Amino acid sequence: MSFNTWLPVLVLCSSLVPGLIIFMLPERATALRTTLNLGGAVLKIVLLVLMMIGVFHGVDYEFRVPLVPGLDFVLHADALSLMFVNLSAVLWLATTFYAIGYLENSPNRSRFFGYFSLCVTATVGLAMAGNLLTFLVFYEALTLTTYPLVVHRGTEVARKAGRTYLAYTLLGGVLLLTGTVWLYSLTGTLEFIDRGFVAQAGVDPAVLRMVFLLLILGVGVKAALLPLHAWLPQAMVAPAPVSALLHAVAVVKAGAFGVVRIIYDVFGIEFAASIGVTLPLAILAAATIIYASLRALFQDDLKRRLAFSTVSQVSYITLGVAIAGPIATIGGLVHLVHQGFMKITLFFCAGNYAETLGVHKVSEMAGIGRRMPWTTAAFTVAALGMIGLPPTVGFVSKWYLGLGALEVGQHWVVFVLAGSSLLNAAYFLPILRTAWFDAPPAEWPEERDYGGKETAWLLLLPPLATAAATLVWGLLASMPGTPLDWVQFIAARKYAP
Amino acid sequence: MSEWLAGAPWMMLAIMLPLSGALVAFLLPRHSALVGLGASLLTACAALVVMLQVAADGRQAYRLGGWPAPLGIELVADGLSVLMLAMTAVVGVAVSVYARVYLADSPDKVRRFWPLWLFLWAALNALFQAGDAFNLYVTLELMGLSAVALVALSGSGPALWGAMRYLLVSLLGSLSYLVGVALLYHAYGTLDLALLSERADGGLQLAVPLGAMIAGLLLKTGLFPFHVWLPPAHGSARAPVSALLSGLVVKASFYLLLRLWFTFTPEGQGVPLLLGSLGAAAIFWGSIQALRQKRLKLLVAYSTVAQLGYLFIAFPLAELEPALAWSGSVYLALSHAMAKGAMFLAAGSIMTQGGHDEIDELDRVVERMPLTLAAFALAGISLAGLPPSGGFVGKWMLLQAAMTQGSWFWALVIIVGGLLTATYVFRVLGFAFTKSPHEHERHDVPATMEWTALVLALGAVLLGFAAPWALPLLEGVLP
Amino acid sequence: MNLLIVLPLLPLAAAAWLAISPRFVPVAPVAGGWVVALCATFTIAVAALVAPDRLALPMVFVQGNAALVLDATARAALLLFGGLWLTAGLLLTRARDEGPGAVMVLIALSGANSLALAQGGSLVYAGMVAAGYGFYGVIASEQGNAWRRAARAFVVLLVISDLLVFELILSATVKPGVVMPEAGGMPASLLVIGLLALVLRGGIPPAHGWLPTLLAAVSPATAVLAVAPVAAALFGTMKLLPDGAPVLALGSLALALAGVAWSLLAGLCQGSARATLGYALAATAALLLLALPAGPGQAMQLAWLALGLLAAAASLPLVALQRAGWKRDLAVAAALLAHGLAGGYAAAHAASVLPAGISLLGLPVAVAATLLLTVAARRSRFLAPADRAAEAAYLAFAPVIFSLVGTGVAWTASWPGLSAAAAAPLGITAGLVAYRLLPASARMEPGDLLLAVERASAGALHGGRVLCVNGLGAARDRLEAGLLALWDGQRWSARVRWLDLRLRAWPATCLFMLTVALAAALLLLQ
Repeated sequence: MSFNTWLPVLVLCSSLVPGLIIFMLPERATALRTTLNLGGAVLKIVLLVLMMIGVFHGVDYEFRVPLVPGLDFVLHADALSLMFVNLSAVLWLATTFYAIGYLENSPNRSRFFGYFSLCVTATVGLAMAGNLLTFLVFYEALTLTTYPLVVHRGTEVARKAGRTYLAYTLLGGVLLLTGTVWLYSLTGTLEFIDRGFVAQAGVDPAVLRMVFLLLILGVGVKAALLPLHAWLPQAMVAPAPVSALLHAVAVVKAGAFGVVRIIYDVFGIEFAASIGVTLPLAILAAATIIYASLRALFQDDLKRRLAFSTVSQVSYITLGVAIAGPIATIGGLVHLVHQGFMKITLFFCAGNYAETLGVHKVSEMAGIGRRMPWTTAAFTVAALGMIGLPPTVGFVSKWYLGLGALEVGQHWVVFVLAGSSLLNAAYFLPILRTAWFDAPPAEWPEERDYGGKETAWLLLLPPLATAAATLVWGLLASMPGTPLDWVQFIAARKYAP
Repeated sequence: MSEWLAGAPWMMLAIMLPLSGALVAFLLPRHSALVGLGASLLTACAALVVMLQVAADGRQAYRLGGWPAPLGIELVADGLSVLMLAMTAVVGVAVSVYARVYLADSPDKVRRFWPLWLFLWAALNALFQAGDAFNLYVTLELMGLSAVALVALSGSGPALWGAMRYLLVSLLGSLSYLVGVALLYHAYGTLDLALLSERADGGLQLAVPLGAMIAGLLLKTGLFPFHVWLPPAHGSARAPVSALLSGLVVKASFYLLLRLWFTFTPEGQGVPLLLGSLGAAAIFWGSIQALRQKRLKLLVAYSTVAQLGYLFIAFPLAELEPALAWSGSVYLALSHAMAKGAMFLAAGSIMTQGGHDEIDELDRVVERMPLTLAAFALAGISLAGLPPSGGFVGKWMLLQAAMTQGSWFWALVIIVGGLLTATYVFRVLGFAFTKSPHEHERHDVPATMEWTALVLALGAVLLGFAAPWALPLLEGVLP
Repeated sequence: MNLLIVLPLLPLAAAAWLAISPRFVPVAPVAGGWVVALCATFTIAVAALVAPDRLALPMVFVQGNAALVLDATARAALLLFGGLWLTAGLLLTRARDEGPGAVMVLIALSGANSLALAQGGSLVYAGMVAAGYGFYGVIASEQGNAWRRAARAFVVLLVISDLLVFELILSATVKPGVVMPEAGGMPASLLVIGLLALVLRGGIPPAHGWLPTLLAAVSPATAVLAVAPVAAALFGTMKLLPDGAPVLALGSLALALAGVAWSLLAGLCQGSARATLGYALAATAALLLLALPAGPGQAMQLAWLALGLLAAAASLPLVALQRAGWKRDLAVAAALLAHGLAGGYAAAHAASVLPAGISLLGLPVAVAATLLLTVAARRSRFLAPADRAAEAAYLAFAPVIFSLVGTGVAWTASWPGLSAAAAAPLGITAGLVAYRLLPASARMEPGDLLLAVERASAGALHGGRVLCVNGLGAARDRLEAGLLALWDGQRWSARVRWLDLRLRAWPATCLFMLTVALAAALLLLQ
């Protein structure tokens, strides 16, 4: 067994082992816990850099053990999985810093960081899954590891939110399981291959449509497709780092990634278009986009507004993927990365407001830009990205999505994008105006004193870093080395030459 | 030395070691815990050696005293027996370690527990290795009697009532089984399973005894609607005893049923359909009852009722892909033993800690006993069939068999059952994380108790990865 | 380092310095105005002195065709923006409390500069967005609440217009090979979208309601800068439609005529000078819309004409700061003359693509625009205290000079014929006459239809909100409650308990056993 075989497992273990050790640590062992956390995150990034260099030079990293008769448990690193793994790893590092600052002096930190690490392990495993069975294993593992984070606070509200969360995600899990077993019994294989493996099996298209429906509904719960999105706003009772992680990296992106895998590597985009399943999916995604933006308009609680915004934005990815064209593929895939960065910035800032000033609602945010200018600057950049304005990275995704839609003649998608941008402007611009230009109140709800600074460094640096990434990648989008570049490399291989 | 080790009658030892250990523990009451623990470890080793022998050389047979069939007693160990032996060994050792600490403060219970438990283990090992129908009956009876005594061990009112009921039901089931055995002997003149499988040819002379035996065994297994003795017995016994009952004892009668089925391989779809339907009903009924429960141990007991139903779903699915369906069922039995054992041990720890086991008053027990809750959660994951666990592998195989056959109904039953299981498991976990409005007492729980439960639960999860090694053992056994 | 890249970045750096440094080094508030003026001077210097240049930026945005280019159009735009911002900066140095924040003004300058220099679809779009939102920031950073109504209307129009421009550049990228000779390379539908975007963000009637309302409510510095969004809209559209849109000449003529008539009616019925100026600006924008289909012209004269027209309009708020005297009269006269000449030229330029008979209809548009500007000038009252008056006089000349430069360059670059000069005297005379007849009559609210539109949209939004939250939301909650009520947990639990008790009885067990045994036997027989 060579290094190439073990590298995927090592990447997995770089967060699994610290997580298990952290469970055992007493509450007081802050320094050791921080070292383990950060050490694991940095190690993971180092290993991933090694892996990326390898994949770029054509090395094949695969780990394979038999799991059930006839099927293996496969970890495989290809370009698409590397994109998602890198996103997870980088954002995990940022969120770890943030969580250390946010949960200072909170109870049960060992438990929190333990489950945190396990959650990232599940996400990374899901990204590197080489067949649908392994994907399913990690998909369910993700549900199980995120549940304790949702109920972390231990209140009755948290318990009920956790119950709703589980109800939806377990339902998604069984739908995915049913679809997977059915597909296996029809085709005899579940390995992810560029351009899919279903076409060769010669199965009746009507049956395949049912299978597709089951699979998409299964991953669609996590990807917050209408009407399976209701768990997302409810899960906002979790602490801010959890919301940031869940909504930018782990759960929602895992669902979107599942949609991508199913359409490109199980069915194949051209085959899927030929059996007519992509258009209904595109329509569903468009409906989700508009509906969620409408719901966001009426929310006063900032995190709930951002939650509905997430539901809307993740469906951009689904929409891009469902429009069967190479440029739309680029748009959908690159939005996976871009939306992660933008949304995590927004949630970090929301957490900062709540933690530093006790501000939870939009109506309490008057003049907050004067008190916390850097945080609000990061918030502004991310919000402009959500609306899709240059020079942020949101413009790049919107461009490719629109261009891709026009290229294949689906003009209605551009209207959906325009409508969504309008709604996004409607619920983000008033926040920005209030924050910067209105007079602040005499007293904030619950101000914490940081000795003249805006807020703690650990709370301030992560959103600034991710907002800076948003700006730089948006402005210099055509530079080699941006996510756009990597996605163009991926998208080319999903279509027949 | 190694030839002596290889030549020793390990199959015999697997029965004699616990039997003699029970005797010694009875004769030396003050050292019964140590004797019991030692005997457990030795028996586990014996069982594992038998497994290694069968894995290397295939089906093993041993004649007691050299007398051949049909007069003598022949012990037979094939892949299925060996898996059951291993399951018993693992769960047995864990429960022994747990019980030594759990019962440490009640010496009168201690001196009764160990002989009975070792006796039960001997009966189980004998049952798994029995080669003819009458020996199966004898071991079944011995096992039942010791199980009843173990239930009555705690001495409380509900425990005695549950034990009494268990005894009567068990006797009824054994009676029915004995009637079947007698009719078989009358028809074919032998009770050796291998010979019976050659001579049996169907017709009324096979149908009636087989029907009686099936009914009796279903009663002893506790399949719906014969489950009514199970929750009182398992719910009111002491935690280690409940673990043994739910994990091992009910599996023994199921094993018996499988043996009979593989021996006679009846054709026709009627009985499989009947058994499958009863299984489906068990799943629903058990899960719904489990959701209603307010006490943790009763919830786990009803969960056993539900999980037993899964084992029987393999019957209607064995038509097209018998190997797949039966492997799935056996694997589910194995992982259920470990998972249910872990669950009962965890429930015992929780009860020791708080003095009660009301589910909605758990009051953030996860902070005081994280290992125990982890054990409970992992066990629940295996029961619900969520990956990665043994339960998932078993369920996958059953689902695959169902899909290949196109049986939508059974696939739906399996899936909905999994969802229901997850519901009641996570209900408990949700309360375990939440603060309760009332104050509760807090006792300390020894670390050994927490760790044994966790190890068993991890075993259930690791079974998910052990399928490529475990399943080939079943190759020669399944039809 | 290439000067072109410094132009957008310098104001941003200055803004960052102004925003951050007060925490470390006490900076006098007046310094902000001087910083603005400095940056604006740099802009003017670059525009006037640097040779034509192009800086390709292939890494920026998408498509790889982004570039910063200093050609004639860019020069005119930079001179306009530079002049406006110079004036605003100088006003800020004496503002004390009123006026916009210097940081926002600098950010807006950066946006305007990037728009002026931009080339390539996505970079032009970015420039237009930056300029538009920058100006919104300038308005919003004013003290008090008077600006809110107008700013809200402006930003709504801005957002819709941004979407239209986005659609325009998307579609233009997809269909590069389509050539329609009469449309100059772009299909007519796209041209319509482009002009519609211009109308919405450029204050052209009927989308002009915010302009008079805004001008009536803000400080002098912002009033001077209010010309910027109109200019940004026009220059942006010129860059996006490089060959003009001859096919739309008739349509834009009709729109311009209607717009200017409307502005005339409404503008004459105003009471304050600023409101009238707003309508004058709207009429000027309509005039520029008229001229746009003819394209920028061989010597880029449209850009210079825009400079002339808009700078003249921008000088009028400053007139009110001066004491009556020859300096004031000279400034006003020069501004009006420049505006009139530029307007006449614009009408003549528009006439080059109009059919022969109708082409003369361009002249009334120019005349009306100058008329309104004259009325606005006459309605200006002297408002500033004595000590500020002297300095303000020189300030008033600043935009006037730029306006004269613009008109002069356009006229000298390409002589349009003396008929184009007719608009100036006609307009000024008509304006003076109109002022005599209607000195000041506040018969109409500034913004005329704006109030009605606002009320209607507020009502629609409120109705929508009621429908969604109270109507649909309540319906959804009722449905959910109804579905949950179908499952009565307690009753089912009681039923299950009843059944369970029955099953536990001994007779039940024995009966089941018998049944199962017999059934099994029967089934095995088959």
